[in-house]
Amino acid sequence: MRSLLLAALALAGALLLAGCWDRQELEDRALILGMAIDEADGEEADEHATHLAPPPMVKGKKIRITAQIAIPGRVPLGPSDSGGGGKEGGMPVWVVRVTGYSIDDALNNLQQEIADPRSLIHLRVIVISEKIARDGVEDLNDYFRRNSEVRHSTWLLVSDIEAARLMNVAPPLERVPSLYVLSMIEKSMEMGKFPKEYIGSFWTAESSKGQDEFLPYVSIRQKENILLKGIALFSGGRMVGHTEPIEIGAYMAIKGMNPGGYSSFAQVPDVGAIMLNTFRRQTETDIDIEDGVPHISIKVRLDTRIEERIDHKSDEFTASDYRKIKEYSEKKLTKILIEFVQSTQKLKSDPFGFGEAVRGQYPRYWNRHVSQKSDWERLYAKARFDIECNVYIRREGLKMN
Amino acid sequence: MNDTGRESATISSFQLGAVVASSILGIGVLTLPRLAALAVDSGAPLLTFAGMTAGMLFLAGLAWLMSRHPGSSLFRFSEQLIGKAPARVFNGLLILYFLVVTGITARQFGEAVVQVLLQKTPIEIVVSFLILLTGLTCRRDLVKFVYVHQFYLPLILLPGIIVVAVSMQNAETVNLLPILGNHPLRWGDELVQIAAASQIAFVIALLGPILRRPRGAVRATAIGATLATLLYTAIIIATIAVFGAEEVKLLTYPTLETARSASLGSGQRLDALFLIVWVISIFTSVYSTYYFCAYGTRELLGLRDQRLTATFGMPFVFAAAFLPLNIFELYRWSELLNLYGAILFAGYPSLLLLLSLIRRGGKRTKEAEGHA
Repeated sequence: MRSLLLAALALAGALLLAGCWDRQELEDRALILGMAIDEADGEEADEHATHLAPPPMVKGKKIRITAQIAIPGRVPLGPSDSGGGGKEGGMPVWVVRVTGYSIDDALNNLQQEIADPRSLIHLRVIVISEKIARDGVEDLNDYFRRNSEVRHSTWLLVSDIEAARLMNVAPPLERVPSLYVLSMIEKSMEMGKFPKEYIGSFWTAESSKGQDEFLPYVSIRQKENILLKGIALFSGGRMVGHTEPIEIGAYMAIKGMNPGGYSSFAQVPDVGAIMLNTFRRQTETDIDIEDGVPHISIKVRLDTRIEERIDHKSDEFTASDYRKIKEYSEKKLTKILIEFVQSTQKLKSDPFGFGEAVRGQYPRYWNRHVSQKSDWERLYAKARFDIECNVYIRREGLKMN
Repeated sequence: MNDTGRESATISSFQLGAVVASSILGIGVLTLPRLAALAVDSGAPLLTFAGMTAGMLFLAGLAWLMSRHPGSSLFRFSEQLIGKAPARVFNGLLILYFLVVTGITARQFGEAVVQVLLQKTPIEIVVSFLILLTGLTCRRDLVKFVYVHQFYLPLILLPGIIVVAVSMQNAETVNLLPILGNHPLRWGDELVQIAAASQIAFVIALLGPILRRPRGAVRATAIGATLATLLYTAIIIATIAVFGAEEVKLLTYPTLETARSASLGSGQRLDALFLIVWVISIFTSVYSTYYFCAYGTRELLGLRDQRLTATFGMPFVFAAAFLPLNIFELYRWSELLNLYGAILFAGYPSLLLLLSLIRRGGKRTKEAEGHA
């Protein structure tokens, strides 16, 4: 009797402790791979899944979520899958549109429409439209932060067009649209074309008082191509502007992020137009407080190689013009860096996190002047910058002139 | 009561240290970074280090007391020092306190499991299985108690160190500055809260009868506590360095998030490894507190072993676990328990130590010399 009881207990323990209570078949979940958030037109009827009358503070601010739900069995698992299965099946994802007053409201409406329980464990990409970003994203993120299924390595993107369109691009390289968006942004990260700014880092920047958040800014070209257009800059929790693509390089140079990935194209007097590709960035930052404002000096060192030279007349070897190219591009790149920093100052947006450095190095100054994020944003706009850029041309490829 | 009957096998100083370390490493692994960050921002690592060191001092006091009364457990020498009745009151309080702590810890464990891992499993099941597992393990004698701790300690330390080391790849040094925190005034309260993690190691007060070298007790305890302090501090450094203090304040389980956002090579997340550390560390802590209850009740009642008390205590632990109605009350309970516990755990041994010093001068008993 006793041993029987113990055996039953052990069995129950093994089953329950191993999590069998929570077992769920993969086919029985609606795995949301990607999500686009747009403002709604306002004409959609309320679904009343979570309310009878919407709370007054959200009235009139409806959002539309376009979710990509994976269809089990049709999502290609590897390159070998590309031939079979897919053709007769069509799209491996199911695109569902719902509206609501908040993320959760919309997702609850979504749940009313689909059979399987929604699951965000494979959510990899969230795209929001610029309009939404400009209205502020803190409230949108609340749901994602509370939900334990959402990974910190999800990407949050801002698109300058209707975000839902990114859920429909079906480029030839990748059959699942949101996975294409994902690989596009992750590969830019590997090539040094974009900093590692997952949603987790975005949240961290959002809560820290000395750094403003930023996001990748994307668009669509030729219907199916996704273009990385720059950095969406935030201030006070709202998107306030965006950069040009080369300014992503400027951002990464100021932060000293590697690998280098951007090229600069400039016409060097007497030499011709030269394309310099940066492959390594090194940066030293020094912060002082002078006359009550932060004085930030930045020394950027770029290791570059010549990729292209456009020059109609000269037959000179590059070796003899090497100094000219170096000095001219230093001037040119310094200008790009300075102008970029100034533009962020104008927007009162500190995507670099210089405020965090001030907080760490000058805690007394920080405590006296900053009690909330907007205090630092104001100070940042007044901060003085000294930016120096050293360009080292290391090699020039397989041609000598 | 025959203390040295079945439990004549002796344990080494190393094993004593292992009990201390694996008892201290517990629920705090999950929530300590948030508590510390709330108090002093980026000063959290230093605060933790200081708090744990303060806790260690009281533990060392207890160990000293043990080394002065070799061969007897807290229940025995407390009666000798302050008299039977008062000692029983205090010991009873300790047992009651640990009973509630066991319940509250099990509940915190359950809350985390239900929120993060098993969302459909009722929390009652999670909690009752933890309690059942602990209760059944507590039926065994002291030597086996020590062996369990000794066995699990490496399984807490090694994955813990790996998680810390790997998460450091996302670290930003500026998040750790200034090391005193931006508002270095609010240290007092949280110091107590963090020192409270050491309370669980009080279970060593039972081990007096089976110590091979009572003289080495202080050193062994200090080494064990230092180990725990270092791992806690490392975890907090990693968490604050990855997220920054402001973000940590917002995270329910900061350490878990640290492990979740770190990856080993090709997208392999570290949560699994972290959960190993965490489940085992909770188990060993709950095991210590509940063992104290079971063993202590047995001593108070004068029973031959603690099988009966270990089994019949379980429903009470379960009840204690569900005293708080929700997670907000749960945190308040655990905060208050830490606070009142601190008074009990700092005051009682200090009182005993004082009396012990007065009664016998600064000298050890003859018995102690014999053991040494």
